[in-house]
Amino acid sequence: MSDKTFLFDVRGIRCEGCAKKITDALVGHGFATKLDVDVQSGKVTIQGQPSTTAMSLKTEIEKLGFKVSKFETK
Amino acid sequence: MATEQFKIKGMTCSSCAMAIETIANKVNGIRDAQVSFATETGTFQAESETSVHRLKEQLNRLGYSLEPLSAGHPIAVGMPQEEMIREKIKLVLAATLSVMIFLLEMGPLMHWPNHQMNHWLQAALAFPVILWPGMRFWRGLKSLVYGHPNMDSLVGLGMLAALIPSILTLMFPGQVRSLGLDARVYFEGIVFIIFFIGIGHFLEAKAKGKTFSALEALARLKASSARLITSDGEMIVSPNHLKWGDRIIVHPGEKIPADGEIFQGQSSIDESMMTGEPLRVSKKIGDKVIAGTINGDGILRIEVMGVGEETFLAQIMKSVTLAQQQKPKLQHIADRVGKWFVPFILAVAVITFMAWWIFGPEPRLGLALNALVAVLVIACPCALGLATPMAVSVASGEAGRLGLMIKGGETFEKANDITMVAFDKTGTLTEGRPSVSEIFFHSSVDSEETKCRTLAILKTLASFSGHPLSKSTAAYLNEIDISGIDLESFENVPGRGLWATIQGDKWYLGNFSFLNENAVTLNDIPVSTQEKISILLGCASHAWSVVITFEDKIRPETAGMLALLQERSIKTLLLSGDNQKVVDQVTRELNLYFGQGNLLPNSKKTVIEKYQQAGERVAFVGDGINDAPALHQANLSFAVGSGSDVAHASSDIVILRGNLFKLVEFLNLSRRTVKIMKQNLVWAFAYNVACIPIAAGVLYPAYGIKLPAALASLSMALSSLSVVFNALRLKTK
Repeated sequence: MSDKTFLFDVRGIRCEGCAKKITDALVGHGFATKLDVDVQSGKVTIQGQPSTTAMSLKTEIEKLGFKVSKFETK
Repeated sequence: MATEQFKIKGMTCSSCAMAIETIANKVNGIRDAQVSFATETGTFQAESETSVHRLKEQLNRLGYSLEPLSAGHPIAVGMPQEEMIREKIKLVLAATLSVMIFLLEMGPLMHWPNHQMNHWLQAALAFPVILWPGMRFWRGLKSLVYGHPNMDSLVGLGMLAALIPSILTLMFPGQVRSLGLDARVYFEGIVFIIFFIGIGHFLEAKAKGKTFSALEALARLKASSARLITSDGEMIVSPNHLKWGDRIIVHPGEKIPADGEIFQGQSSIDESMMTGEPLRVSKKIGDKVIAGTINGDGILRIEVMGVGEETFLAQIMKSVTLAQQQKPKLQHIADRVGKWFVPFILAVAVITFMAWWIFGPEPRLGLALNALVAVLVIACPCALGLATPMAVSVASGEAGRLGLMIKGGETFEKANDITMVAFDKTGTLTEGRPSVSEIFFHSSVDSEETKCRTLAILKTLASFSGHPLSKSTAAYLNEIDISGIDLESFENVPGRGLWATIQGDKWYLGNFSFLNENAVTLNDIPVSTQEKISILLGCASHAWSVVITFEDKIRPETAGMLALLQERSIKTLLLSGDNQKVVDQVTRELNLYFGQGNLLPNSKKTVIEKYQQAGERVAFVGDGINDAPALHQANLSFAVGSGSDVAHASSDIVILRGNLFKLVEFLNLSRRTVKIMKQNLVWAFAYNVACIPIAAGVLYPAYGIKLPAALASLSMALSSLSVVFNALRLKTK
């Protein structure tokens, strides 16, 4: 099975440091295989294992102090 | 422009405060100087560091010094310990030497050992008093030379007027007599003035110290250390070094060093010093805590969300300080009078002197001098200057003790004549914590299996939103297993609700109109739910699935508080965004004057405006964030909030959550404050109006009554003290 792609709108991303925090947490802990953060728009594109769920990603992002206002699974 | 706050040293009366304001406003780059003699502080709008430097230089020249002041630190008014001791020594010295001079001048030692030697002995005893405890009055003369006369200038002039003939008599007694003048010395008058005014100031400083005890009590709540969690373990740091986002640990019995949110642990917290609530409040993960409160028996790990001046404690202390500094409207009248007072008294003194000298009985010069000194000494505008600031200082301190944040001294005057109080409902009259009361399923959700799946979807969506109704729903459905639900997409629509897709179906959770707009069929909704606060869950192109109704309990103290307001003939209104049926029910239940529902924040403002046009003076009580337009429109605004959000409230007064009785207490305090302000002003005006003519000697031709200068100084000191002690009556204990 191929990887799943998720698009998240995240509130509270202000700088590259915030982006790094999200990347380290999700990729570092194996929740995502690839991750791209657009600091300006707050959009986070995540590629995960087929077993990864959007809800688990949301929970992990919000644990870091950010707020997810929208997500979709591609 | 930056706001600079300073503690000002060297002020001796309210004329000094006025003089500093005038000087400061003339300094290039300084605007809006507000100086309070009562708090010994000043607030200035400064353009740059250079303008502050210029201001300091100007004021130093006149004997005033500026020290920076910050919100986290209490204003220590009154005297520091060493100064207190120094002042006591000065007083003892002045008292002892005054009595000795009195014995030499008028007592059994009169003419001892001989006339001339007696005068020299008096001079030898008087000069230490004139030069040390009396030094402040010479500084007053310096201010007069610079064109900013104050009360000390008047006394200084009086002293000078008595001192010059005394020295001439001492040095050249023969020549003085040969000119036909009375060869007398007036040292006893001079030292008694210094002593009486000195003792008055000493007692005044001690009393002023008392007005700030409330602020000091707040300052003592601050924790002295914090346990910072670092990668190497715990580290003890000063709370001043904590940063936003730091993680700290608080052991049982310790003070919480910063505002923040619990991320681990649970405990009960003693918030009584902030909220007045005697019972400990239990707190768990996700709950907010306030700096200065005391941890109970659990270990808490807290993420810092407010340090230093951002903390609720610092905000409340800042509000007390600012309120104490801001002048009430009544004081502006006193200030206007005060500005012309010193020149006016100088003129009266000159006229008095001339009148006695030309028309008075023998010894003319002696009596003329006595009347001149008495007028100059008795006319101190001190009581006038202290009349309202002292009342505001004590009242602001009391308000702080009640846990209220107030903006400005004018707040007390505004609160004095309120005729109507309008309330927001949710979170103000009610707890603001809606709890689920009933759940209704649509007839299509009939089997146990579909009901379970619907509740699981409901819980999943509800747990994704921070809205109080969603949070309450998710908490209510705690037991429901949601492991089978996976959201493919989701969006939070602020103020309306949220949607999510589950296995291709789009589900909506929100109010009636949100579901209606998104093609959820809303037939057969139970009628009873329409009279209550409710939200629905439904799937697009299908009938709604479940509707949840909530109950928001009325605060236990609401009814008692409303009854107290009604006793005072204050009308009570309910203005709410909830539907009219819900509002009507609460209006009936609480026996309110009127209740209006379906109001948006802006329409609440319109309703208040309507009553104001009808002549009512309306106070509005809201939660401080959503109700900004109404809070702004009202004559007086109260925000009911928790420690974390009050700092941003746009209201005159902030009441901590759960303490609506404080509203009534504040209205009572305001009434008493305004009454005391008026009493003080009337007393201070009356004192000057009555005493100046007596000192000038108007009663002498008819009754032979004249006022000795020493007695004038005593009465001046008593007048200042009386307004201070009258203001202290505002303290409840």
